[in-house]
Amino acid sequence: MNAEQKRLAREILADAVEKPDPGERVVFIAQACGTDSELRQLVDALVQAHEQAGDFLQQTIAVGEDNLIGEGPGTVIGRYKLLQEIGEGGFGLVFMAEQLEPFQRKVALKIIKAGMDTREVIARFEAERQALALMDHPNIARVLDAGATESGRPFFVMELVKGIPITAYCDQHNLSTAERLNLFIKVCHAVQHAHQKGIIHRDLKPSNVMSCGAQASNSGA
Amino acid sequence: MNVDRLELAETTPPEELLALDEALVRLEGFDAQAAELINLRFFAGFTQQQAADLLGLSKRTADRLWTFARAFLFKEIQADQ
Repeated sequence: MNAEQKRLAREILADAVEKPDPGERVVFIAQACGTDSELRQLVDALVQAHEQAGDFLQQTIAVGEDNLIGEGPGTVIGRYKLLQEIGEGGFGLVFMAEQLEPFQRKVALKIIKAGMDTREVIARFEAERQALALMDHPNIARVLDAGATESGRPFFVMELVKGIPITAYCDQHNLSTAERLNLFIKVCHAVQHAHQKGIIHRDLKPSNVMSCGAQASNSGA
Repeated sequence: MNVDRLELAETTPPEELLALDEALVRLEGFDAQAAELINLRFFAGFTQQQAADLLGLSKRTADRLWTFARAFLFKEIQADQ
């Protein structure tokens, strides 16, 4: 299919679905495609898909402009005050935060990005929190608390791991191959712990494995 | 431990996201701008107006492109099943 046929397919589809009368629509498509049967076949398939698509991809899009104003340093969520952003994933933001009560301490607070709080993302986020909560391993960041913002977006609070990505740590400390492997064995033990609990991380990478001296800690499931 | 909750969370079938991803690759091959629009709206969470501005399209053109992109992806995903 050439570029002109592709362009026509797009335009004919968009025009066709704006015609509410099915009869009128069929006539329009027939005229617009003329004798190009390849084009006709594609347009017919697209129109059919359009009719059957229902709310496919639609529920994700209902983002009001208001929702795009997100949390940032200084924002207070429940008993946590956000200090600075320390990480960003596809759907979530991680902040260093200060717990204000019952005692003050620094924690890591992970929250869904403003405007990304679709049903699907929330479900995945909840699964991550739940998975982390099942973990009980010195080298896996612990979940301390969970809740939702005033606008209903879920967040969870983890212990703050003050470390740097494991690869940077190895380079900064000029670790030998044997030392690197020893560190890696600790990572493997933490991952094995997760696997024994039936959890697969699916996003293991150096920036998710923080190292701070004796420990390697692994966050995010 | 609330196992029910975990089950609930897993109702987001990874196969669906995988199928969408594969369909997106095919859309990119067919019409790169349409795939870009899907990425901006579905994955990056931009509004239609914002996505249109980023792509240098009028809102109306972006709406028409969206109609096409959505139908194309739906068709591809159905064909896979």
